[in-house]
Amino acid sequence: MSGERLVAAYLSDLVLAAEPLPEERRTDLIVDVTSHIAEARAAGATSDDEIRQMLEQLGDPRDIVTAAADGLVLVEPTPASPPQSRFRGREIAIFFLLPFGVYIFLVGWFAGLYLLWTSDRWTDREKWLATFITPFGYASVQAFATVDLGYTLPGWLGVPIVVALLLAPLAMVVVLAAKGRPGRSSQ
Amino acid sequence: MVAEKVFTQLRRGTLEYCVLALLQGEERYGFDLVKELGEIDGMVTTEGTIYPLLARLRREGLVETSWRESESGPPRRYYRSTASGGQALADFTADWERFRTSVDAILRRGNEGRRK
Repeated sequence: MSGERLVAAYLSDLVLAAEPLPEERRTDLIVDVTSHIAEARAAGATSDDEIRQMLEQLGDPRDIVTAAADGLVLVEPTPASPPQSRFRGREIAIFFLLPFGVYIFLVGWFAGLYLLWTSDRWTDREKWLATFITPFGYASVQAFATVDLGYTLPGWLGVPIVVALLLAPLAMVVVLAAKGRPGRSSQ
Repeated sequence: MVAEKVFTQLRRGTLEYCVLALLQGEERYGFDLVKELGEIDGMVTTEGTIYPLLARLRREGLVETSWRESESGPPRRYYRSTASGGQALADFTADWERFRTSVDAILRRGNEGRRK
């Protein structure tokens, strides 16, 4: 990535991470970090490598936002609040919509994705996995089963592939169900 | 490093007083302050977290700020210590010296015991 794009990506990560902060703290933080980057570039960080190193020294935008959240309760529930149950209606909906939602006029799968990515029950890695293991859920399995390859896969190869494809969306649901906990997305 | 966690805590606890110390009798803008702190061995690991710290010191009235034009780029936010910032630093310095003396004494005893 070029230095220009690195800076743009860094700032957009920061803006995104800073969203939960109160207005004033958010604006201050973004202004401060933006001027820091401008100063560093004026002070000689010009090559792509220098810019990359400068951003590394600044640190992960999420760590900076965590520092700015100091004294505020943003995502973590206060000890006084009742413990949240592991899965609410929306998580149950995700378990259904990711494998089968595509059959609800296609939008069902996208709705499942939206619920998945806005849920705090999983880490980003788990969310990426659930998104790409079988895009469009069983529709991709069906597509594979019906596509004309121009030749027939031998049974010893075709059968295991079909079985794996049939199991993949279910396995994904099982993994999500096993891993999901309130607040994991902030880990 | 085993003591990594301890140093993270120590850094967190002492950094704001190092910031206040650098601002006694002198105004500095953010970038300048961050670079200065960065040169102190082991003090700053992520430069960006100094800005939220400065914002907090401002909320607590320990520093005050003003924007000023710069010749070479965007306007700069200058920080200077207030009187209560100076007082907080003096209080901390006294406590820190006492604390450091106690810890040093105990560590020395431990090291002598180890050599026996």
